[in-house]
Amino acid sequence: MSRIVFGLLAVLTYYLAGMYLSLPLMILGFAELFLLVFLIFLPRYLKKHLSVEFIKKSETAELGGEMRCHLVIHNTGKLPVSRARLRLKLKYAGETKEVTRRLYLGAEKGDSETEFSFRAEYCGLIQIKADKLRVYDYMSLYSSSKPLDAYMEAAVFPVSSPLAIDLPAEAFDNTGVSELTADKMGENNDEIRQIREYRTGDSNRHVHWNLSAKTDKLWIKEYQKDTDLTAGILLSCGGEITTQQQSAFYSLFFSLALGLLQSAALVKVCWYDGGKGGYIFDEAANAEQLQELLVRLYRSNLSKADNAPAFEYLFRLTTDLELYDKEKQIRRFTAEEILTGNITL
Amino acid sequence: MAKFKLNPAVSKKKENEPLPLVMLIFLLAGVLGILLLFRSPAANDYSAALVLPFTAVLCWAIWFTYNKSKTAFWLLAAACTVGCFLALFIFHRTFGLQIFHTVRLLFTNDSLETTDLTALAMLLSVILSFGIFGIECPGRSHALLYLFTTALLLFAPIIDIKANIETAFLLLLFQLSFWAVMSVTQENKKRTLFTKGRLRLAGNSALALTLALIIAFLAAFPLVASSSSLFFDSVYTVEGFIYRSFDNLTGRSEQLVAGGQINNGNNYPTGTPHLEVTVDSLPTESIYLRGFSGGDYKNGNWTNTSDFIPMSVYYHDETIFYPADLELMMYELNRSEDKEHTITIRHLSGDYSVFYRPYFSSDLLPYDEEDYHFFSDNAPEDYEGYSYNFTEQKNLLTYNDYNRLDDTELPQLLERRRDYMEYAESRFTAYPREDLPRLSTLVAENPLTELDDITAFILYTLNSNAEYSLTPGWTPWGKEIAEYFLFERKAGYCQHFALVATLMYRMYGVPARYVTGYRVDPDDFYSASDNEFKATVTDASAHAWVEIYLMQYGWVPVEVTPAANASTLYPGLSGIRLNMLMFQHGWGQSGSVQQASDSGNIAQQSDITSLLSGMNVDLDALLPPLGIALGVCVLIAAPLFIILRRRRKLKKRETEDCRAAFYRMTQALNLCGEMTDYDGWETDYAQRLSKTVPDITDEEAKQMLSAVSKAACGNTPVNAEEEAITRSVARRVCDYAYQHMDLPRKLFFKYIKAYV
Repeated sequence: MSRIVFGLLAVLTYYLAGMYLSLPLMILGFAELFLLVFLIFLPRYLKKHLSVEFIKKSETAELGGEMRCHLVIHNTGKLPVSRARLRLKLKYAGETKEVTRRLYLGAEKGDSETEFSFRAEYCGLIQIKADKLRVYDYMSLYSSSKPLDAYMEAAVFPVSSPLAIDLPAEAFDNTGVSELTADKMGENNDEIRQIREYRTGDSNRHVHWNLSAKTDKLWIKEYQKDTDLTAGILLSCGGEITTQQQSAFYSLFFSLALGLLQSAALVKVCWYDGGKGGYIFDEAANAEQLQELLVRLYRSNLSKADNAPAFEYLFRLTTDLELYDKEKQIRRFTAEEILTGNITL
Repeated sequence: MAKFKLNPAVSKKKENEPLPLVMLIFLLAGVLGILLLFRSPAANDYSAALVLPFTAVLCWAIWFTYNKSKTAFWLLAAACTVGCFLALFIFHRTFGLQIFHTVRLLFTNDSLETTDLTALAMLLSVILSFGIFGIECPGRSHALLYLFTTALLLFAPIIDIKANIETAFLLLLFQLSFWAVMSVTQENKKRTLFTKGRLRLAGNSALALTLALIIAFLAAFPLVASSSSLFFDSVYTVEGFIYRSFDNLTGRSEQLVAGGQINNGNNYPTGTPHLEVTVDSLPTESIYLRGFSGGDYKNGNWTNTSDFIPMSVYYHDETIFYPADLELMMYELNRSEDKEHTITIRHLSGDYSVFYRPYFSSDLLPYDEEDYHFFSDNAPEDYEGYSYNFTEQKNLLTYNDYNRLDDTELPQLLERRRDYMEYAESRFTAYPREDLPRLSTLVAENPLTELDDITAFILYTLNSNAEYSLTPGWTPWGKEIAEYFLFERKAGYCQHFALVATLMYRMYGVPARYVTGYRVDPDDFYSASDNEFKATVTDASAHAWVEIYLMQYGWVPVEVTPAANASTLYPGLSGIRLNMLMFQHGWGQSGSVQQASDSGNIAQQSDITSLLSGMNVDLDALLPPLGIALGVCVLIAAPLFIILRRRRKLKKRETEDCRAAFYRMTQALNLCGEMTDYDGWETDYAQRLSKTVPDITDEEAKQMLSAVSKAACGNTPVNAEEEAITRSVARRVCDYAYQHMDLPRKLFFKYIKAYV
């Protein structure tokens, strides 16, 4: 629109200059026409010297938290860039359809940093691609674009809310939970870190009976290496799911694993990666490692497997949000209750 | 699918970025541009020495206070408002008169005396400074002001305000620079990534655009000035194409020419055939077919006198005075019996609402009485036109042959001729004196009584002051077209020449009428059969001329258009006599009419001179300041160029390779007269260097030489560390050399070679 108005006014100026024999107006009209030619070529020059990159190739945030993406704009040319439009394509890993968003920027000579943020609705790995940069002239009449190849990943983790799991003591002695081997036990494996009040879901094995008897309250012993035990979780794919269900699945898994880490020293996880065509075995000993494990899980293509893995597990969690104790279903969750954080066993 | 609502980061603290200095320059450009445009009309004047510096100081104060303290800015605004109201209250009479003068200038056609409008210009300066600043900077809106200033620039020539080149440049600078600023600052914050210094970026972008604009202007100026006619013609070519296409599409091109409206634009004939003229013998003179004769004139429009219509065809009441009857009787007295021709005129469009009649002709020939009783719509399709007998002007009798009239007709003729002469002298010598002050003055200052002298003077005035052009452009709104044609535009076509000539005849008291119709030249005819010559008359043959009333012949045509290339004057005035008269009066064709009035020198000027004068540019007066300005520019630009070049070279030296650094070092030593007998390959070079330059150790000198040898002859590339050592040594040697030079060499070393 602006281009049409400017062009029409330049032509009108030229026309009136001719009709009223006004040399200043004629010069004005010509100057405008020359300027238009300059403006046509200006974006081509500017775009050659302009590029945008993500400063960090990966960012993390909790679900509902703010995901910040940092950009650096390089302008190696002699002229400032008053306006450029960056096209971003965002999608969750595993999704095929991308969401396109456009942001405007400007840049003086040299490097300048900026950032944008967003709140992720679901857990998962968001792939952000800056694939096109459109550079405008100083009057935003003409533009020229160039492809970009800036890429980053943003991992959205579930909110940290461990699932309260009241495991019977024998469960550790029997199937699914095995004693850690001696070499995995710390030297101070029976060293008590602290004593605290009993909470629902705490194992009976760690009740400080003597203290409880004296104080008439239940007390729990927390060990430096509390339970030198491993809990196994098998993740299985139940069929096609939506992003929301997938997010709920990740949240449930995260809560379950965190819950187990309160009782066990190590959580072993196994799932079938359709992309690699085999089972993946992974493990985490604390929340940080669990987040790293989640990123690997996000990246993999969780699929149905034809054969069972050689993996001893305590729980089996399906993408349909069904939790099994071995093959016995404990509970079926809904995405809503998981995403609202209101889950108990 | 997930929705991603991206939020660009915003500044953590409220951004209070100052307006860059260039904004002040852009603001000044806008305000000064409008103020200069206000001064463009000849009737407007103000003290530029007072108003322009005042505006500059005010704009600076606005910019400065806005950046420093908003309170101070509002105090300044309040002070200026109070000051303006006080001034208006105290000097209300002065302001009233100046505003009234400006309104009259804009909305009336009155010629006004030059008036000093300094007070109004100061007031305008305050309003514009605050208004433009408020809209552009805090308001961040530009579209309205862009359209307003564009309208000012484009509307100015329409009302004959000649914007000069500096006004045009300043306004364009204002328009485009703020456009560039707005394209940065007007961005939607929800979609724009935040970076520090948005206003600085906006200012720098606008500055870059300004530089481009200056280059565009500098390129456009010589181009347009040197080939202006070419560019103006290109406009007419396009307009002509559009007009012709429109006329052909709408059928306007077929309309017959017979009107008194003077065209205030260009003339684009389409070549559409209008008439078919048939004569029984090939004419030797141009035949003027008049279709309209003008009576009263006002604002470029002639009223129809209607007395050319062959009224005797329709009315036979002898008691009514019919000018056409008189013409017939006059023709009877003057015609040459043996040299009469018959002419038949057929309207190709079938529209007979207008009759065309040649001069010195009989009444319509009675083909059939019935033929005369129709008007345009009733003409049968096979109608062959109407005919006259006519005699060519050169074959008219040089006397009135009264013997051709009977005893009753002669007294009637004499009586009617006297009556009509009286009528013509009162009716066809009228003109709107108040609308034509310059033309009236011109005639008054050149008093003449003899018809031949008057005709010679009119022709001389027209030929020496105006050139023939079908594309003279448009007449500004409200301008009297006759005066504009003769005194300002100095170019036009038949309508404008005939208009001025008619008015001048009338001013001298000669009965004259403005006539339109067709002129058919002898060359236009082709032989259709034995004793029959035909001419197809197109709209290109449409013409306008003057007719004056002579007692002996009645109305006779006078050709005043130069391009007509016809020597049609009137019976009794030959070309030889005309030249003789011009010679006697000293009216050489290249001369000009001298006037005591303010109409100025109306001699035809060369194209570029006239255009430059149209720009209000006095070339002779402009050259000295232009030369000084150019000299100042060179004086400022040359050191600036040298400094910038030195900086650029020094920056490049930070990354130069070791061989270049070594070469620079040896050059530096030679320039200061040290180690002139060394060229760098000597075995004791390193030792000598460290000895000469105390700042360099023997080890460093050796490392440098090793790196240079490696770069020159080695198979392995020199690493970054070696490059850095070489550059470091070279820099220190150059510093040493600089300290040991005399002043001229120092200047050469520092600014020309840029070694330090």
